[in-house]
Amino acid sequence: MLRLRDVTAAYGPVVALHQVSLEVEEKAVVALLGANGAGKTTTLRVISGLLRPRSGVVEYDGLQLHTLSPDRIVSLGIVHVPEGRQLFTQLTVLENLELGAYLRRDRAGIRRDLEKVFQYFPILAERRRQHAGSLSGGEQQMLAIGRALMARPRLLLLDEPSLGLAPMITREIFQIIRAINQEEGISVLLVEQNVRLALDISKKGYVLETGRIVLADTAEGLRANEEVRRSYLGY
Amino acid sequence: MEALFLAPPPWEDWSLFGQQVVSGFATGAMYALFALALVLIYRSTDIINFAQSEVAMFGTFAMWSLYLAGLEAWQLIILGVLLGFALGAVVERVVVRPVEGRPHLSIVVVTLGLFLLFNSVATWIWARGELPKHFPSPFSFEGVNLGFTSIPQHHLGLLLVGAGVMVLLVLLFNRTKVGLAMRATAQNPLAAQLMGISVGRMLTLGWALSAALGGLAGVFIAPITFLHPGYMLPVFLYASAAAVLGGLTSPPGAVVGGFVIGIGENLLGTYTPAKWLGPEMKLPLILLVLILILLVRPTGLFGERAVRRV
Amino acid sequence: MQMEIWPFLALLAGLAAIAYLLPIVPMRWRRALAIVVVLALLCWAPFVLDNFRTFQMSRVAIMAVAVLGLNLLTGYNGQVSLGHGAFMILGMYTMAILMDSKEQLNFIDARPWPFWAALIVATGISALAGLGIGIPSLRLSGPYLAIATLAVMISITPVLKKFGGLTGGVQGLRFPTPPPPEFLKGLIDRPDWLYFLSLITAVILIFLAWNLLRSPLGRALIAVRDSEIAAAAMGIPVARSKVIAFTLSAAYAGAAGGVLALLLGSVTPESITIADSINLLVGVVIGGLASILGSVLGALAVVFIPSDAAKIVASLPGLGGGIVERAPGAIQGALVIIVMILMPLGVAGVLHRMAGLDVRRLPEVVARLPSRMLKGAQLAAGRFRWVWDIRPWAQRRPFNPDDY
Ligand SMILES: Nc1ncnc2c1ncn2[C@@H]1O[C@H](COP(=O)(O)OP(=O)(O)OP(=O)(O)O)[C@@H](O)[C@H]1O
Ligand SMILES: [Mg+2]
Repeated sequence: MLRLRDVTAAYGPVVALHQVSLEVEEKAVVALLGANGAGKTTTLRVISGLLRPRSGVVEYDGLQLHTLSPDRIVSLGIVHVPEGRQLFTQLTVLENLELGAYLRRDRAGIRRDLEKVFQYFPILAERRRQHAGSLSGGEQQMLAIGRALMARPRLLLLDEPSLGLAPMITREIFQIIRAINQEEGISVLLVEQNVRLALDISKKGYVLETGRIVLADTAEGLRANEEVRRSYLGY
Repeated sequence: MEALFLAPPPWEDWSLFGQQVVSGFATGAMYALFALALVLIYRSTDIINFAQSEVAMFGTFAMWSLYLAGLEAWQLIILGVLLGFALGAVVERVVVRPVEGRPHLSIVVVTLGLFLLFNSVATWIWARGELPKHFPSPFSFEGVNLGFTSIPQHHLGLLLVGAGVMVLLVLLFNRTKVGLAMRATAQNPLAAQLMGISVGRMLTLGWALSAALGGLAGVFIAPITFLHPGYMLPVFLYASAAAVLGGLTSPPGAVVGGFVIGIGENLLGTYTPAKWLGPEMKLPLILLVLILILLVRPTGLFGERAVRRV
Repeated sequence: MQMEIWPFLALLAGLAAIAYLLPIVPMRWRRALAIVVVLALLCWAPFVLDNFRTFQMSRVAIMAVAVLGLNLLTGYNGQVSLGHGAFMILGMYTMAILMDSKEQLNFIDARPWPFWAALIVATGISALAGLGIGIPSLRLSGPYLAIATLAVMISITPVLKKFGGLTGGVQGLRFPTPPPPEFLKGLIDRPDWLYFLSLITAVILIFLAWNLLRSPLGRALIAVRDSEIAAAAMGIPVARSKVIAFTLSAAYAGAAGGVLALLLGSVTPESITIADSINLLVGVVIGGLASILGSVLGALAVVFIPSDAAKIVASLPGLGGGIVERAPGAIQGALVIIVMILMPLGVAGVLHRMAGLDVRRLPEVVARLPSRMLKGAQLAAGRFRWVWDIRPWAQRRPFNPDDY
């Protein structure tokens, strides 16, 4: 459903991605792994339209995504949960969720989805009148994911959802990601430092190194790979 | 014995005092609207828009032409607001958008350039013949008896319209999706973009709304001060004082600041110590007070503390 | 021999560029050579320009000092002031009071001071005022500081009018301008002498600023601008640096005001208006933030754009003469906006890039010019795309979950 072909992207003179190609299938969880500065965030930025690629193609259901503006891409059902959450910290939890559904016009559907988000993340229902900035790190990550679900996406781009969270909370969030994928049929492109957890819920994965894809395999294949074990799994 | 003030002191003429306070509220309402316009831009673009007064002046002069062409005063008000809206949108699209993301000072200088441009073009088109020009009000200047005092109908109109517009703004920003999106964009443009909000459109809308508020203040103030190319500049100064007093980021602060400045201006203008200072020292005195307040509260009365980043 | 101003300025720029770019002397001497060429031509200026243009060139020298002063504060130290006109007018009044032969003050005897002593006092008093405003300004930042300084500037005009005992009220003060010294009698006349005074002041103060900016103090100013926290972490006294910047910058404005008073021979409360004060900031940003060359270019722009730009634009074919000439501010405003859009670092930024050119590579660069201009045009079109990209709201298809 989403395919990148030979995407090269740069920030001014700094080339961050060299000829990256990857594919995310319908209803799949795909992991995107790599060290700091490998270009994972940049890949997501290119997909969500925040960064125009210098060359290459981003295809989505036959559309040329790299020619569209970010708001158009959201309207096509691709929602990016950025690194560091980027919540509207001075707005309430409820307002953040409403903004997630900004492009939707179906009131009844929005209300149903709000209930669903509160089912996945009951804590958000309790905190709905509170400012987003006053939530704990785990709650903020839940809000970021919940806000993305409010757009009723077909493809979620998750950038390091475990960033700064305790292992317990991380596991909880990953279970919810898996549930979202299985129950709603939403595809997920998952950028993660916690490789073990990421591979547990993924079907396949790519490894980026200094802007190039150096490895692409199924989750089992990657887990068994000598390189991956040494560099990312630590055994 | 020499009189203490230029006017009879309050304890001798309470009606005059009351009248000054109420009409201070009225002009304060306009300063508040203008200050709100400044706050709107400051929150979205992070600068003070120095062209605000001249865009409003330009629009009001255009309305004056329509007045000569035979339009009614209330029609002029509606058209003035609409023209302000359009001018604001055009200004944002044409000259502010290309410098978006540059250092704030670059954008400030662009607004200073706009100031010169609008001022000069308006002078060239309209400042012929007798100045200042008369501008009509939908209300009369006859006194309305309020019991303890009486004030002109126009001032009462100012107060009511100002209050009405403020209520509308509260509704816009707190009860509508567009308003929520504008607040979100001002706070975190990147995240707003990821929600599918067209950030550019929100910026245009912000500038347009701001200029519409300015235009409204323009057509309501012109009947009092009469119309000439510099007539909005003092309003800008008072309104920016009001906005800064309120804290630049705070809409309620701007409203409070507007009323404080409006009343302060009227009282200082009326009750200046006759011997020492004349009414011409009104503006310096107000500004002195503003500076003193800023020294105690560097981000105004309701402003957010500046966030320091490394 | 008589020359128009624009050919003269073109000659000045051309010769300076040749001196700088042509490999006549070793690289490290080129800048010095260019400066010598410019100074030589500037000394020649009063003998070839008419009196009005000489007067304008004096104003450029004076404004260069004032703009540089503000640049020390805004460009190098990151504090914005819209009130520097107030320091200028303070310098003007100090000068006028000291040079006046009437008994303005009881405690100063009736003899006028020599102009150089008066100028030093004017500079010192402005510096003191800068210190007095700089210390409380430590508490204010960004727009708050801009508005507070604007408030100072606005207040000063009515105050000067009101308290006329010292300032001569609305009328202001007049005094005789100094004649050329004995040994130059017959060589130059009074306006030329005033021109040279302005030029010498400007050269001295620019040289001092150049030295200062390369000293540890200069580096401290810049470090504080870039990050107060990082500067403090490096052991730089942040508050003191900011106050020093304010004081210095006010001293420059005061010196400029002092010389301006000499040039005019009079001062009134309206000698420096809010518009002049704002123009200083415009000059800083248009010329180039944090650039000495930029300050001089900014001064040229501030003096010549209002007087000449409208006429030049009006004389272009197809612009219907009179229309443009009657709205000179419109041209000025439009120019300011266009420069800001096209040159983010001001005119000096463009020149600095051009100065990096190696003459031996010139043919190559010229050959590449068309393709680069095309690319530039495409980029500019991209920037401006927003202007015409006004798709109606409805055209964007809202996301409809039932589509899937
Ligand atoms: N805004 C930017 N400007 C310039 N260079 C950037 C920018 N953002 C990222 N880069 C550079 O691009 C490269 C890839 O960065 P990217 O953020 O995509 O890495 P990442 O894989 O997400 O790393 P991390 O795990 O640390 O988040 C890095 O070398 C980085 O320095
Ligand atoms: Mg990253």
